[in-house]
Amino acid sequence: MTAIPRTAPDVAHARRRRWSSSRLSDGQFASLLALPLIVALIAVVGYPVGYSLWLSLREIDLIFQRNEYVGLQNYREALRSSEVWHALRVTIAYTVVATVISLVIAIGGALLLNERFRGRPFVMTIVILPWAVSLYATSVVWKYLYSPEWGLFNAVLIKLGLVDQNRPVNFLSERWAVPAVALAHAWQIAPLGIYFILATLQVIPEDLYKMAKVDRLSPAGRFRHVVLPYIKTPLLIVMVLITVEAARVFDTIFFLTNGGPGDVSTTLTWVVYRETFQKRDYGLGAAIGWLLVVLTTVITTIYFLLLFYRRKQPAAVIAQETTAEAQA
Amino acid sequence: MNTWVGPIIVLAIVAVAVVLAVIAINVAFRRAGARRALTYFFAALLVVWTLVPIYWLLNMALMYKTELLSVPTHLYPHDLTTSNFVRIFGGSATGPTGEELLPVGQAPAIKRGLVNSTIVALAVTALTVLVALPVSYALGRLQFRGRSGMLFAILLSRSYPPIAIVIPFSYLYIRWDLQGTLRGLILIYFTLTIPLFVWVMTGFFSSLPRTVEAAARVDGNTRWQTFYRVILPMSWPGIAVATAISFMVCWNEFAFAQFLAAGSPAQTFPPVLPAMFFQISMPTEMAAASIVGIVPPAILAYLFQRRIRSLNLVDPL
Repeated sequence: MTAIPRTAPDVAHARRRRWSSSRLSDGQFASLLALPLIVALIAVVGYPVGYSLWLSLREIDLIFQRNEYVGLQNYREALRSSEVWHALRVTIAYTVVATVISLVIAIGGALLLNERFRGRPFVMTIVILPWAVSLYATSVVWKYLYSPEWGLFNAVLIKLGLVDQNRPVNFLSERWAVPAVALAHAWQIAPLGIYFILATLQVIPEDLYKMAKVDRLSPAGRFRHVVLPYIKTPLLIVMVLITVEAARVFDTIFFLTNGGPGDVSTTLTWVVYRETFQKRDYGLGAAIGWLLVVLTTVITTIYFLLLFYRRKQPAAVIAQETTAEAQA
Repeated sequence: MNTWVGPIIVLAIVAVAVVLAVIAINVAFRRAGARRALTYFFAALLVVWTLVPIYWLLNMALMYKTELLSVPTHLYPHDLTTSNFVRIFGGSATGPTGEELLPVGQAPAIKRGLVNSTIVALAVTALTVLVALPVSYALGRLQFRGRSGMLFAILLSRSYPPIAIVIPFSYLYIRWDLQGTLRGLILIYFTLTIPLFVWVMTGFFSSLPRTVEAAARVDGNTRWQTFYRVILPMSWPGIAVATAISFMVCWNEFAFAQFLAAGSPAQTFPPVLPAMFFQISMPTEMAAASIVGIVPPAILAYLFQRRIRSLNLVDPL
């Protein structure tokens, strides 16, 4: 079969019925299929997003029925507030810790599960569990792990004699709150990374490993020259996905610290929450929300650019490069 | 700069651990036996890391509160009980010394929450399939202008922070009387499920053999017929897993439900928990309730884990 004979069936259908989906071009058919989604997206995302932009330019008071246009005043107020800048720093610290820890777990877990060992199917099955345990339940779980009264960590530390049972460690103290909460988040989000990277690892041809062995590459060299070229793209994508997830976190902060102690773990989302739902300042909340949107949009755009403009490298070329470098 | 101290220490520890692990693997690689031992060591580590938090929750849920408060903390329940599970569903139980333990005050809210969660998750998932399946097919199989732009728009709507999207929704809902209704929740959950569903299904469709449509068209099918007679029957595995993921996302959603439906008759399961968590100290009952919430998604994840692993999520084109 060399070409698709477009004419015969199309003509037959056209004769029988006046309108047929076969007479549409790819583009027209695609628009038809996309119509429900476009309507839904405009209604459910487009309109509220536009509305929130409009809200961010207004001073709103639900109690006194005030609602007036104030231009960019909310944004000015947000950018001048030291609270917002502090929250931005906390968000970055939180995001970096959560991302680094989950990436280490994701890469390590994927490399491990790519090995053959007894019990591998079992490990493979249970590894996804934290992802199924939602973020809110994860927060509850970790609150109980950290708890000074009945937490597992303190219980173990006391059993080992490292901690006095009358003075348990407070894991959610000023110094440790941010990394402790980020660790809980990493526990929940890393499994997805493991699955992503593992899927890519499993398409690496066995021959490349054999070649690496013949060339006497060390494990580090093997990782650098055989594995890394393959997992580079999924790795970057996992990284961006996790970063966005961490930057827009709410559940863990809500359950574990409430932004505290003091304002130590007050992330940008927590400031938005406080302004909007506690102080009922919809305008300022929306404005700070938009600053957060800018942050996540930048991250997503990087993701998108990586996805569509990356240099596609055929496996054969990588194989050649690998052996060439190994021989050199 | 107190914010930075903790994170920097943690990252330093992680970095040192990674370096040590790499050195260990490098050393062990030269001897097959050592390498094997190391593999099992790290596998055990991964299992412990994954299961211990869940074990602790189970441990608490199967204890009487009096036992939980004992010092030092028991690492396993010495006096096993299912009373917490009975009590969060509105039954009363007998305590360790024979006294009666009353049902948890939130029991009606928990039961109603589970029903609401199921309704919302099923409705959203069904509507998502209707709306998002055709477009995923178009994105995965057809060449047309604006395709990558559309993928980008869908992806962007996924990365939009829920807390930012909930502000206009909450303001509009108050004015439109959608605050605290199931309809309102169903509407906002679309923002979560649609991008995810499209992403998963586009990847699935594009992984089907390229010649399918051509062959179907040669056989005299129209485009629609090709879609529902040929492509759809091939796609059930993909649709099943995308549907399961949508359901899990709705079931697990907390923030939207907390802001838009907490305390209302439409309250889903997750917002019931903060009331138990913060207002009264009910750790054992709380642990039992959390486990009830975890079970459905855990079962789905178990059933679909093989499919989830083979999904082409990274690059749907």
